[in-house]
Amino acid sequence: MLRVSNDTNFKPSGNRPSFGALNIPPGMTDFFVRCKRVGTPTQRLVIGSTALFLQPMIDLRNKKVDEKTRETAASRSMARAIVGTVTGIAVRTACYKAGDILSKPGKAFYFNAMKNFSADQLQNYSRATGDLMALGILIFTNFLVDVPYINKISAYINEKMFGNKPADAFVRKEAK
Amino acid sequence: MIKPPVKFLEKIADIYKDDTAKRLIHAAAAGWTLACLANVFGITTSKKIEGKQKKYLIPQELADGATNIGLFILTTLGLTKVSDKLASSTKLIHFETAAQNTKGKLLKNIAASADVRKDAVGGIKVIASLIGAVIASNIITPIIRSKFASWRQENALKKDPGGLDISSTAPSPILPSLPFTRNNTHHLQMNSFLAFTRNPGMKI
Repeated sequence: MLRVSNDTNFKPSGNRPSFGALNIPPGMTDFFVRCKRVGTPTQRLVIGSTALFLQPMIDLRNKKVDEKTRETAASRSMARAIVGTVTGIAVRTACYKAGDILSKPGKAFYFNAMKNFSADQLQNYSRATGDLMALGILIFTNFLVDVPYINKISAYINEKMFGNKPADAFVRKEAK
Repeated sequence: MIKPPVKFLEKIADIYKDDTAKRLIHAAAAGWTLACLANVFGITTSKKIEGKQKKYLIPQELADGATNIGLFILTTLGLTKVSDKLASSTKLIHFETAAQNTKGKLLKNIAASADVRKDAVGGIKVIASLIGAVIASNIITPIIRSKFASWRQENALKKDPGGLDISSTAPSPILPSLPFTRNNTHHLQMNSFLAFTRNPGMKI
């Protein structure tokens, strides 16, 4: 039998479950505050280390190409992640140091309005100048360091991990 | 020493002094753009690549770069904006800090000050930008790129079957996998076919 409530205080919206705000404990708050000071070397490390596992997995699961092509692509992805991360972190860390030095009073990147900056703002500004310098340098290291080492390391990984000799891996290049 | 223009430096400071996530996203996007342009420059000036191939490779490289950068910006900016809105809402998230007495003894957890809250929201935006960067550059882009590369290989083989070496570009398995059978991972290759016929321990 259908029962009809005689409750006159019934409010459709008032009966919904109410969720309180999420409380972030002090430890987590401190962690988030520290994360604000993350720089591009850490960013490169995060992207590079995840690329080292994720990209080869994606390459090896691409069933549209044959096994050897898949393995060559996976070893190339691994080599690119290793070399790109090492070069990227080294250049960016060096440029951060240079940016920090050049943003001090009397140096090239210093300007008068910086007197009113807080410590965090000074750090962010010096890092921004460091990032700019790093971009300029990375164009050259891309050709001078990355390309030759990626070729060498990917051939090494392809041989040691998948047993493909360099001659097999680059058969297409030789055929041309 | 050559000094960069002060207006340029002031502009840099103005844009990035308070927003770490923005700096990380802009630096990564600029890096990708320059890498793409450097690759195009490399192709344009290379003497080993013929003019006909250059006409094909340059737009392809530019399209590849535009996809990578576009996806990266869309994902990271989207995630940072959403995380900023969620974390900034005092109705949704309460940041707490530990209140201590003068001897360093923990008394209780209290609501964080406006400055700490602002820094914590900035940190959450940085984490969101890092997650966005990993998703865009390590998951979405490689999947799209490998699908695009295999589509291009198939097309190249259809147009000019003798132009590419079949052993490195064979697109399809000998037989499609059937239900209740193991997946055939050996593709149409002369060397694997020969190894298959010579193998004494052949399994069915």
